[in-house]
Amino acid sequence: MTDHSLLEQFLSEAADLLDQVDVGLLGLERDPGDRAVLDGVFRAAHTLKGSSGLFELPHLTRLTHATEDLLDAVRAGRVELTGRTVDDLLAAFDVVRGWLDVVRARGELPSDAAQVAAGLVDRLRAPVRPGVPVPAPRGPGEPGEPGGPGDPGGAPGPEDRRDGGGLPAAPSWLLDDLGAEDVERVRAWLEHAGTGCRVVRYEPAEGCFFTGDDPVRLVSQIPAVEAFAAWPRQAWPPLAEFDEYRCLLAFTVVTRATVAELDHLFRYVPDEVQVAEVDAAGLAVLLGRPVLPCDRDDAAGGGGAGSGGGTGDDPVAAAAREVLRAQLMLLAAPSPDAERTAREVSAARAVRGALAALGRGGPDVEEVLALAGRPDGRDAVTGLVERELRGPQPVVYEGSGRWGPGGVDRRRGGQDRRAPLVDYGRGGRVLKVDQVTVDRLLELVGQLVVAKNGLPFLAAEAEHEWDARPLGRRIKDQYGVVNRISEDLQAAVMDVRMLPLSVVFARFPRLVRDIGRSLGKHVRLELEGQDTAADKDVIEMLADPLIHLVRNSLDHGIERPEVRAAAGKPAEAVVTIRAVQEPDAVVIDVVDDGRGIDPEVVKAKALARGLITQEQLLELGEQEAIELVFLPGFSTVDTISDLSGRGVGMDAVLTSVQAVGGTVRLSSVPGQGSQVRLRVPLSMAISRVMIVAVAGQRFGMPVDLVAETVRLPASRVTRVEHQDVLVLRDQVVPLVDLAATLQLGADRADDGSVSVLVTRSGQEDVGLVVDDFHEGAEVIVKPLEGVLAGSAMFCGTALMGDGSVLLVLDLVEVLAGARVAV
Amino acid sequence: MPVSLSRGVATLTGVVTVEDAEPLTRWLRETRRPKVRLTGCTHLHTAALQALMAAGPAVVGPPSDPFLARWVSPLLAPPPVPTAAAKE
Repeated sequence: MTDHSLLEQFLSEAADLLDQVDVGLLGLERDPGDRAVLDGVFRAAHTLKGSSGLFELPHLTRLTHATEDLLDAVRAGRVELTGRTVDDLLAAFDVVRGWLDVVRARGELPSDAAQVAAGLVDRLRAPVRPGVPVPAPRGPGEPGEPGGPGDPGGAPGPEDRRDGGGLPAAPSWLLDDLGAEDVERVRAWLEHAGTGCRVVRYEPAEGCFFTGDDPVRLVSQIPAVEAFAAWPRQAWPPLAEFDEYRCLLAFTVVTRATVAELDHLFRYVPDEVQVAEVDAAGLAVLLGRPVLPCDRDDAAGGGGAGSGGGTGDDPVAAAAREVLRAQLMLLAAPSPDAERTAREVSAARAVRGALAALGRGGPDVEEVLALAGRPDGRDAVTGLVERELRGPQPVVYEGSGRWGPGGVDRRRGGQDRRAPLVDYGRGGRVLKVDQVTVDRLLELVGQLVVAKNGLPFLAAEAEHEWDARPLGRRIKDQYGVVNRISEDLQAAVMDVRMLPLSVVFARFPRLVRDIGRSLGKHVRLELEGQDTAADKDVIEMLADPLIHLVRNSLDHGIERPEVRAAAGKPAEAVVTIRAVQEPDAVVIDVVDDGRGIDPEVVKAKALARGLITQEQLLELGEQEAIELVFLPGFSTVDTISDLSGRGVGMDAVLTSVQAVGGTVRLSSVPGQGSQVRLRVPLSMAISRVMIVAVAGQRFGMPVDLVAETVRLPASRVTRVEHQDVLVLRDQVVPLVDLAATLQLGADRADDGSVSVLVTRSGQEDVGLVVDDFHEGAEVIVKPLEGVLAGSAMFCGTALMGDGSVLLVLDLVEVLAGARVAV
Repeated sequence: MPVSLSRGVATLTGVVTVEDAEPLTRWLRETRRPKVRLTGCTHLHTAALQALMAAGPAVVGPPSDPFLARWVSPLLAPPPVPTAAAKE
């Protein structure tokens, strides 16, 4: 598996983990004592941190590490989970989500990741370490949190280290931790060598063992150690009370490693580490010795922040080191496989030459260089060059097991990069399939449906044109078989596309919580029927309308707690989203127990917006008044808070739902609440249509809209107020001449009968007069595109089995056209 | 078995992990004059090192691993670290 798909796997799993975290955090806010949920959220954060480590995304790791520590502190009872804490955690994970999107698109974190991480980490760590002063605010707009009582002892924060010439006095903890004897020893060495060095103070978190950290392992990887101290941060408790799982040890190390090397080594725990540059003069000050002018000059001029082991090289050696460093970069850069071998071999040659210039060579060097181009060659050569750059010293830190065929390179943060962090042996019961693949499947199924529909025509052709009746019959039989299989296949693919509504519902708890908080309203969300499934296209369409409806409820429907209390309602409002499956449709209700919709208010607003005239207003009943909200232009931005109604409104909801063949019903009881009922078909892809002949042409009508078909004597048609009607079983059905409406104007053969397609649109039945009825068909209706897109009368076209194209009528438009005509 | 505990001597070999810390600590608690042999030890998890530092057993076999020998051994040698309470 390539690195690329490992990243994709991580991204997809991270998305799931983030969803889990969101749900968990909201659950915890309601019930902080729920241990299982807390553990689950902690584990998810931990997994995120661990997996992110594979991909060199240090700010991500750092941020998730901070969330993990905070959650761990909550688990241990050291920190209380307040609304504020949850806010911070949610904010952090939101940032993570955003970063992962950027990584998916660009392969790296955004450029401001460091600042954003720093700000969030400060907020997350503040409750955990109240005694530690939180560093000053970092990036713009990211307020630092005032920490607890400051530490006047002046432990310098990480930002105090790299300075220009004239290093500040060495940190005071160096003397405390190492003792005067060691500090003097180091000072004397630095004075003699005319150089500076780095000091590290590593104070691991007490709970670090539980997150898999081993501080000793980390410090054992510090190269070029000159002084070392490990000390307990409190007095050792008596053995009887000693808790072996609580990390009390801290470490102070003097090293010639560069700041960069140390940063890299400690990149996963930067908040627990302080690194400072020191020189002989700084140590002298620390020891209280007088600093002679020449001391300071020597120190400042001598080495300063040299790269590891710089001890006044002559030009050749300096050049050789540059060459070595260049090889390091070369070897570290990613390269396509084809080039890799060549690159390593050429790097090895350059290394050999550079080492020879430095007077280093010999069989052990050759042995390593010979590995170039082989599987472990890169790491081996890189290691050799790093060692050489650090300077001549006994190869002390190559303890057993650090190198070896396929061995772990512990220098790289102690993780074996070749071992995938992901557990692939998970039983494989669920497949993650790309949506594109499923769409393709459906496309193919559609083509199969159309193709198989050609067989009956062939059969007919065989019988009538070729006089081969037996052949015709066998074709029909075979068609039966293929038909059955293709119907099963169709159903199976449609099943694959079925998604549970929980996909859409998932975001609502968070939405309701955030909006409720910002509006100062107490709202509880109830979700029912999350497992109800519908086609993915339908689900996708539902997302925006549902969000709008929920926001509407929160914004306009639900009253503020005081208002509710005054009205005798419970202070906490309830918004319910309920989904129920019917044979051919899914019904979704969005219900709130708010103030309901006042018909008078709606009427006034519609009037003010010029959407309705005074006279029309007077004729409206209550329900019709409420439904004025669906008129385009009813909602505009200025009337509504920033949350809802960005120029969309109920009109957009209605349009979206109707586009998939659904309906919207609004009902309300003033003072008690409102309900919006969405009814959408289970699937959009394949429709059954009824084919009719009109003026010599064929058209399709969705079967859902057909109430019945009747053929009656023409005498049954009567006229009422300039309108042809048919009386059917006590119902008066107005008739529409479809040929006239479609402006096809052909004569109809008058055989004394009339064929009527009785359709139901909304609440009323309308009869369409056609020439003849044909069979029903299952087709895939494709929307009109291009030149025909403007034809309102048709909602799409379908390819028939015989290759002809069927125009499918849009009933609503047809009827609208008919009214105009009449 | 990285940690081999006999009546008076604990022998630590190879890589001593965090899981070994608990039995080691228990043994240190229960043994009257614990001795520890580190000769074959290549790595001590911090938890194990802590336990040794807190208990202060006599080290009868210095480690041959370079890092442990040079920097960790001195931590285990008497006198105890200045801030430690006496073991008994």
